[in-house]
Amino acid sequence: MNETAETTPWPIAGPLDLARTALVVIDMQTDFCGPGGWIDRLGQSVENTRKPIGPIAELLAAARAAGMTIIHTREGHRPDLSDLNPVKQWRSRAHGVGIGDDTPGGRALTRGDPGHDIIPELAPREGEIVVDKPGKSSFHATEFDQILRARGIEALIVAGVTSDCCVQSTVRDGADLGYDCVLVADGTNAVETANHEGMLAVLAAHGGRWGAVRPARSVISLIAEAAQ
Amino acid sequence: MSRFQPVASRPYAWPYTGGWSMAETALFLIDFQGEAVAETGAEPVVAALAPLLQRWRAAGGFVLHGRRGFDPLVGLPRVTAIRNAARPLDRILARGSDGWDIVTPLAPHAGEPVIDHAGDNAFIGTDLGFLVEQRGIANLVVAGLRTEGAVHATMRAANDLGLECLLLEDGTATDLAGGHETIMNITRFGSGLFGTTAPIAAVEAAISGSD
Repeated sequence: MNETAETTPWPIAGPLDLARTALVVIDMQTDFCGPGGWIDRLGQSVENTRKPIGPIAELLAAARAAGMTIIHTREGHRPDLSDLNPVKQWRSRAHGVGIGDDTPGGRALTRGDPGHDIIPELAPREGEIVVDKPGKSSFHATEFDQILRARGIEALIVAGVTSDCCVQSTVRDGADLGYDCVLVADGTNAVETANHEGMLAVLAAHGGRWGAVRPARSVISLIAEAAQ
Repeated sequence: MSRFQPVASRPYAWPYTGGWSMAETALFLIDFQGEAVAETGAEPVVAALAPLLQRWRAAGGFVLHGRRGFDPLVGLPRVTAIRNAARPLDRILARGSDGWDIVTPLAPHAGEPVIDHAGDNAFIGTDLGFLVEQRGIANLVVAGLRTEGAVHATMRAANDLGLECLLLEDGTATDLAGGHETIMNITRFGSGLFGTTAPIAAVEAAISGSD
């Protein structure tokens, strides 16, 4: 039987080396999963995007206890919107709430706006790296790759939202760049359930060629084991 | 140069600017290589694209070709190489090996850039972004293999760069059950978060109806 993302080994090139592994928590911001954030103001439910909060909190606790590199990302734009491309701006307005537009609820996906903050439950702690990104991929127009290389990181544990957007773009680019990625199945979700399930099915195909998919408890066990 | 009317695409008429010309638009044919065409049964897709390619060239349009493969002198990143070796299908091939060439009906003409990329996202480790920027390209019409692989990865990256992408629904194929539908849905959701989709005929109609 062919491997799938659930069965393909992770890490694939040897035992888990915590010094060379980073936990990457993507875009757990109020704009995506908090009350009054962008998704909420679009009239969509944040029920799905809040589901990963518990598993991510447990992952963060395990990674902190093991002294691992922890990186949080935030999608958003400079307040002058100089890094907001016109296509993205147009589509967000067509969707209902334009990115960066002044509204009574704030400025969606804009750095400095409260909606841009990471939700309090998963707030970064001192010593944890925060990467602000203007696109879906954490590698696009950011220091993310330089940070990983400076730290000697070779493997990524990826969680956060949304699975069909920024999480998927980051896993795909990470795999192309040679990072050994594991996506935390219950540590990610999407606004639309069908997209989330479809995305997991895509990532499972062809022997898990973008990397592995595991539940949080399995990743936490691996971390605990390697930390001993 | 002729201006064309928007293409009848979903979820909105492409491009969002309301019209287009060949000057700021490229047709990007991604990875129509022998092994991938055979594995995905994409011969009908190739046959459907050949007339569009001919018309595009006749209209003076810019054509880009993607060709996935790794340089055998260099190899793949260590982790990618292990995962690549473990799978029977959808393999990244060594450049020059059997099944790596672009199939004859869609073969590049002289002057059409071929982007040799080692992974899925054709912007990584290539001059694709630079070429597009130098040519002043704002719009991409995308076809290719596989739908959930290089095609979607490359459209995601193009989207981050601000390129306005149109994916040809019958210009892409995959052997992954459900993969085509999933990627079409993810492309179009959120008012076109990753672009729009349309059949080949809709682009041909827009070119025919130039004013």
